[in-house]
Amino acid sequence: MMLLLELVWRFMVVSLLAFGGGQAALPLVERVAVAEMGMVTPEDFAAAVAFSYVTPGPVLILATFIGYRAAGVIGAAAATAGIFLMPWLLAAAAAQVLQRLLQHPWLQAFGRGAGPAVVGLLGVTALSMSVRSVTAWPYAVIVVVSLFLALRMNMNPIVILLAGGAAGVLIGMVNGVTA
Amino acid sequence: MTMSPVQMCRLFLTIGTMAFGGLGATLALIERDLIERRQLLTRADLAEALTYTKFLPGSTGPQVVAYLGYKLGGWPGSALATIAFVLPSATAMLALAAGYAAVVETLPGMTEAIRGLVAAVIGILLATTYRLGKSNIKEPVTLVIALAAFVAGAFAGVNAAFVVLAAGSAGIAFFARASGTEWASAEGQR
Repeated sequence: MMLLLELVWRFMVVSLLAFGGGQAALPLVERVAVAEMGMVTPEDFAAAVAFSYVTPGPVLILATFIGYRAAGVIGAAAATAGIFLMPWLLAAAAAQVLQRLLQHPWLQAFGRGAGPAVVGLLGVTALSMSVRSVTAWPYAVIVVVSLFLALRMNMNPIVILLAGGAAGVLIGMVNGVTA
Repeated sequence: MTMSPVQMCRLFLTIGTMAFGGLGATLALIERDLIERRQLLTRADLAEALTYTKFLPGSTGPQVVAYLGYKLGGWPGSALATIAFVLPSATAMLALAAGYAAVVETLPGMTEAIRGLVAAVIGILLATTYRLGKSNIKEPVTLVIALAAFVAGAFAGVNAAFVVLAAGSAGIAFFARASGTEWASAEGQR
């Protein structure tokens, strides 16, 4: 029960700090669910990110995956509700009454400050995932190639992820032969 | 408006099922299904929804749906549209999570595949970092905030929520003064 409440309110906090959309919330999810709370492993987080690109809809649906890994089906429901409840409430309220408030310079200025912080935190997420998972140079090659394909070739993330997984299997087979 | 709850569910379930590829796909589907085909909403409605949800924290796709749902059917319409929109991807995610749990613990080759997957995810996250950096870091102040956030998170172990709150407050200190004077004075008079 405590874990369920924890899931709901932690994801609620994450969603309320997600200035700049779902992508901007990825480092917050990783920091909170993996680094700070230890709800799931870094591998689980990476799989959640990968699956969130493969499924339709918002990236933050990865909360469903993390909730399931942390506490089963009820955990998935709790995390999903947590990550979408407040943003829904705010957006519906915006359609009704909040329009003037949203143009408040303080809110906009807060977003302008929070945006770059999220960029820095994304760097932290990439770093801590690398330290743990990039244990040999072939994996570093996958990182660099994926970065190039995503940034310069604008390739579909689903293709990059499939190729990365296949490359991982190959590396495992080669290691198995040499060992 | 003249839209039954069942119809609304069907529409947003369809959009939620087909919205592969993030916000762009969601917006394109809304434009096709709700604006062009059924003319339930106008392009101005969609532009308005984007303008206002942009300032709000949270996933933009579901928030645009929530905003438009409110226009179509008030609070219940907004709740219904958002749930219908999120449901397909949540269901898919749940199935994948259950499958992942079963597969990862039994198949021997899976850990290798997941290592490669993690490396690919890191590459994609770095690309995202670069893109978000380009749009969010435009002056020395924002560069300092980004670097400070990195150092605080990576080396000082500062709580991520606290980092964002502190950075947002710094944003208010640096950016709100120029454009925020009317508000400040209006509140001061009260």
